[in-house]
Amino acid sequence: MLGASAVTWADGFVHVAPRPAGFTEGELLLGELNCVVCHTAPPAIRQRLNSRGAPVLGAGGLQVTPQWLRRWLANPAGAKAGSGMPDVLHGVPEAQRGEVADSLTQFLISLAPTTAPAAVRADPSRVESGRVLFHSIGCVSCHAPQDREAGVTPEIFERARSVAVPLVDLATKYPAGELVRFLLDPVKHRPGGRMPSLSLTETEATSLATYLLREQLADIERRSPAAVAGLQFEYFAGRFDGCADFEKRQPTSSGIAATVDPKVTSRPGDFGLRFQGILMVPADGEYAFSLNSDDGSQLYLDGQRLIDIDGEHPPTERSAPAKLKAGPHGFSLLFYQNGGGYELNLRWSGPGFSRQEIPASAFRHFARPMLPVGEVAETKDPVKAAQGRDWFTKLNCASCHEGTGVTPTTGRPLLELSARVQAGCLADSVPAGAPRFDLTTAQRQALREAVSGAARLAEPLSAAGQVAQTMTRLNCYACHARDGVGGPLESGRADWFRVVGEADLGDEGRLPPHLTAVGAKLKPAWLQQLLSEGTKVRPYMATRMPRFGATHATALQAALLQADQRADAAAEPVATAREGKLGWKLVGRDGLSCIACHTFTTFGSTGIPALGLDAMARRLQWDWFRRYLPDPAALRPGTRMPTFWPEGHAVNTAILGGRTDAQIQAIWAWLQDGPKAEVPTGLTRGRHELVVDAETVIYRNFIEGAGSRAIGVGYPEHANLAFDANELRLALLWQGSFIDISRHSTDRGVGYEPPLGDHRIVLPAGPAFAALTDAQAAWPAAPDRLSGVNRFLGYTLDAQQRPTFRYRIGGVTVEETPRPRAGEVDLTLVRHFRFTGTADRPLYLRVAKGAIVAGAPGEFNVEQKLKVKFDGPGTAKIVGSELRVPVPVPGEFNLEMTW
Amino acid sequence: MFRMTVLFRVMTLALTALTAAVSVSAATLAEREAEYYPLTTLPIPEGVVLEAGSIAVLPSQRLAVSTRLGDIYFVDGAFAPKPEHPKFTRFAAGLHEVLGVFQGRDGWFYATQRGEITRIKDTNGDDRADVFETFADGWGIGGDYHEYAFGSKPDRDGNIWVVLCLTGSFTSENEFRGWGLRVTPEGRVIPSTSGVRSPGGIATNHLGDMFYTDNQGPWNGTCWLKPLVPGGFVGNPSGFKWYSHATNLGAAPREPASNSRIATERAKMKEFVPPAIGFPYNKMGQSASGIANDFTGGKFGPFTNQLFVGDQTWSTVMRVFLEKVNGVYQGACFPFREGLASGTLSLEFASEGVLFAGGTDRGWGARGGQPFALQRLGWSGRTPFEIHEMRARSDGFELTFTQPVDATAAADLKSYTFENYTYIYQSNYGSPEVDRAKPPIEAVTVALDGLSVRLRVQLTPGHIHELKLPGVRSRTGDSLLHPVGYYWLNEIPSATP
Repeated sequence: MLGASAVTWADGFVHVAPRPAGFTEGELLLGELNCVVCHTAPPAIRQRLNSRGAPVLGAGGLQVTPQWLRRWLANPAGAKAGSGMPDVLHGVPEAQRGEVADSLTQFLISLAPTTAPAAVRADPSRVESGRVLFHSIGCVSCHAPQDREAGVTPEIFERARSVAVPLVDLATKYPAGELVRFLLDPVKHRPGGRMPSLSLTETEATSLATYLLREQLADIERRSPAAVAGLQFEYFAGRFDGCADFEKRQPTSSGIAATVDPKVTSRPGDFGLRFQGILMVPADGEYAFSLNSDDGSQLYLDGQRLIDIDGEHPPTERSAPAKLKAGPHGFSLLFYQNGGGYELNLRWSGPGFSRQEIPASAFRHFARPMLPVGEVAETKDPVKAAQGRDWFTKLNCASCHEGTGVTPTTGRPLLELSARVQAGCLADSVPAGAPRFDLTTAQRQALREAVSGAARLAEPLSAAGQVAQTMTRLNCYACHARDGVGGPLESGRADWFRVVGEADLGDEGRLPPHLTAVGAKLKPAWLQQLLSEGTKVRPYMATRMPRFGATHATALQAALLQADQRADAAAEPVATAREGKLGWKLVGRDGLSCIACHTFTTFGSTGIPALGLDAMARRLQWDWFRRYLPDPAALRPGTRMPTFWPEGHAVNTAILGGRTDAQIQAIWAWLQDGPKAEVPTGLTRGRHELVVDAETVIYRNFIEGAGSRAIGVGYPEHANLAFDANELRLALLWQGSFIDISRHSTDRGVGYEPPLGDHRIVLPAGPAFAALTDAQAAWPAAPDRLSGVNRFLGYTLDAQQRPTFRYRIGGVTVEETPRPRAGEVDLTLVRHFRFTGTADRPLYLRVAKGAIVAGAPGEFNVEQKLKVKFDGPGTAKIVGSELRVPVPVPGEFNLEMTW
Repeated sequence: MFRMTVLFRVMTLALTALTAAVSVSAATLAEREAEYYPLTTLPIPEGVVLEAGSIAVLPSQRLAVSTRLGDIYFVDGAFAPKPEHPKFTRFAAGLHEVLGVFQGRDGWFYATQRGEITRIKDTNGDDRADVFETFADGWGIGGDYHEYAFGSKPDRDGNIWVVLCLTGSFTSENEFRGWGLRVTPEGRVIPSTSGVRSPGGIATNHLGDMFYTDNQGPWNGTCWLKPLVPGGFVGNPSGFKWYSHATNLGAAPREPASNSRIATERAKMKEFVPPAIGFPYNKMGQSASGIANDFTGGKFGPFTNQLFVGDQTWSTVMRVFLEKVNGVYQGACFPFREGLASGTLSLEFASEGVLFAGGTDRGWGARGGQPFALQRLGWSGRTPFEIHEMRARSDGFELTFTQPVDATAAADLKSYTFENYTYIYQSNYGSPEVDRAKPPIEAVTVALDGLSVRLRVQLTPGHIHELKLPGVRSRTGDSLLHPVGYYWLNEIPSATP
């Protein structure tokens, strides 16, 4: 059966059944079943039906497996319920049917190119990225979601699964390389365009194919459990904005690494690394992984993200537990480095062993490619192939399938069938010799009616009808509403429309725009381009505008323009240079600040990433623009775009005398220069340095290396420090310029600002003070901050604005007064400590960590970079790699740090 | 299908409104508003970036204004009739995005930074702070820009409330993100209200009850004014994991169902404190922000004890009438003043009868267009013809007006349009208007003094009731300055005997 509703059609349009006036369900089926290739029809009818076509065969087609072809040909409806491929062998006696299917298969494989399909490495770590792509870029608009993700209710999930173009037996059907080829350019192999291109990169297509064929991974493990030592790595030169970039890039080089090692290739500059393979887990049990990186990294096990430290940051460590079975587990680690120093290490602990680096002996990788499930070696048989060619000709397969060199024949013309609608392929019991489609009674009835009235189809559809028909055939309604029909909210698939990252844009950021009157909004050339080639003007939207190819684009674009034409459309004004200049002013900081939301070429906006101003003039018609700006929500309900001309009155009265029309026209004039237009003010993002002059300057904010409650202090001596008020420790020392706060003073203030200047000293992370019964004991972790055991108490400023920090460590109050002293070449920070209160156990201060050499009494050299001098009553000691000093309570001492 | 139909109906309505608006000429709305509430812009000296996060009125007509870049300025001369050179003195600097400041009775300044409330004092009388004491820091912060902290002025018990934005729009990654915390006068932090998403301002009403604005996003179909009640849940469950740290409150409530309605989920959760006011998205504004109560006893015109709420995107000030029905806050919002210079963020009344408004558009665009601004709204002494109060009754609404209405026009059913709708209560971002209904106004009764009108119309709990009064005239023939009110209804009052 083709499905419950006459127009619910397994191979094409799916979940909405809009029936705009002017065409019928039967007409839709006539086109989808490709009826007019046999039953010839006049050009006017053929044009109106816009038939679906069938996959290209032969050398230009895809190589699917012979095993699948045999099953498919013998019983298409059995292999895929509701398929548009009819059963052509039903008239062949059952005993002979297998043989015929076999000879047809031999014929088809005899046409295949001699080159084998490209091998795709079996890489379980790609499954997760493929899964994410599948569920976010638009596949789920037509196909069933595979996994019910967090936030999707069982009802919504089942509803979406119940109406979907099926994905059947892909793992037995496709060599992975062929599926990749198909995904990269589906319209080439299936010109009907019902499966459009989603503009995948090769990496994405490979991930997606690996996901869709994930059963082949399980199979390969069964067939070749032995994998070889080491991890595969790919090296990507250049800057990364986040781990998501790995999906978009092609590796610069690749190879095998013994273990996770960021220096596996050592080259200067920014880079990304992806390690992939298998982690051999020694025994069943609880494991804990801890990943430490600078900058971003992500760890995946068995396709699931276990640890995520994405983003640019100083060395940051995160841990996660995992309960694992002994044996192989898919492993993938992503890492990238942007500027400054870098670090990457991965440790684990598990049954019987404590925290350690994962040894090389635990890593393996697959050296064999993916193979279709159940595939057996096939010998070509020219005799059978010749028989197959005869069958192919006799069954008239060539009428639908191009590319075999077989000449099709035609049947009775469509317009002569009106008296025969109970016969042939439409008979209740289809006679031998006619193809048997898997039709419901309702569908057959709809077809009969359409065939009886076929003469009417010579009448062209109205433009609006053409649009509705095409949007139904191509399933545009799955993503877009038009005139109140369709769209994700109606289809129940809205949960699979997402934003990329966190664009604070609401539904506008994730749901594709409605298409009501879109022909009066977008310029024809732009419509053509976006339908044909896809576009990416909404970078925040995860779902991609698919590419349907030039043929569909030309027809739909013309129909949209005609259907949506407005009699009262205003003629586009001729832009003058003066207007452009005033428009520039309006767009920028000194006007309406459009750039607070809209991006421009490579400039990010200062807030949300709304559509680029540089593409507006290419995309939009003037008449729409002039109607949109005074009341955006009228044309796009729910939009975040505010108007700057409420009720038609300009809020900015300084430019062009506050004349609404003139202002809108001026902005339009500026937009005409597209990406070449003068950059609006407010976008040039300069350095915003806090300059330290005669007085000390304090800066509390997110400071890289000093935490979310950091206090930066810049002294007139050009010594700078950052105190971490979360961990109650001096975190950083540096010389020269204090800090550039432009990250915080522009946009929304996103991220950690690193110190400016040079000669940076990074002091140990974790608590600076600890109470220890045993002076040699391992340095403990800090107590939970919210417990209030240790607390930051604040600071006082002296007349030169220099701070004295106060904080409490258990029962001890610490007053720390850092004062810089400029030397000839070095700088010294004299840290005066005063302790009051009581301590129930001896208290220690950890001053530094690393290679430490003791000098004169109380003097130490840390890593040849930092000299420490302690004048306290006790004795400073090196414990392991740490320099610890005893704390007198009550009491005081000076600690000099010279660097 | 239904939803889309609704959307398109909205679109058609809006188009009609636009067409109508274009034919209006002469004075703009802002110009007409200015006849009653003139706006004065305070010049800001070169070099001062006054992205005003909070305003406090100090003795001797001095203001303290805290900024997003971490300064606290004293401003003298802000009350001058034509302030040409108000004096700015930098009291404190280098703080972390101060979105709450006031001077306590103890003389200390209390400043809410992202990471803590700090007590600040100038001990040597040079108008520069020299002591900074951490007063309360019992919440987490991880470096995400979205993790803002808005601090209130003291409530009637002397507590400071802090409302903490979620980490990003959707999650709570650090302790008490998505909560309202109370800080006692001793500095003790009491986790009090869960369900916060993205506040834009916080203040008490005239009774000392605390309210905050929460912005459209996940679980917020539109922007709201919400009451902060200890033990309550105000709508967004992302921060539920921190109930484990809130030992005073017990276990987390069961999570509300997504794709539901506020009224439905409220009925299932005893902790659910529903919003008090809904600001319909794209009708009243797009980003509700600062709150101020008119405590001036008539010096600011007829709206004593009503709340004034900013909208950052629209650069406006809105007006709010609140009432309590069956112990639950609800009420109506009205447009009040548009045309502010930047995106309205902070609002503060002074007893002289002026309302100060601080603005910024950094990171979030605003109509006003200025990067930042400090302005003053005063009352000209002329009373605008406005809806004064809009109260729910058992069988409809009672409206009072600032001037007597023309009885004939006010008694005419055709002088009104009425509809109601609500929003999907969902984990997804925002919502279209849904469940729209247009029950007829069955009867209108005009009081003899012309100062009030009773409308008999069906009420729907959990809906915005949008009432427009295009035909209502004052006895002197004026139209209402703002002929619309949006009443969010939680409870229907019982009939008064």
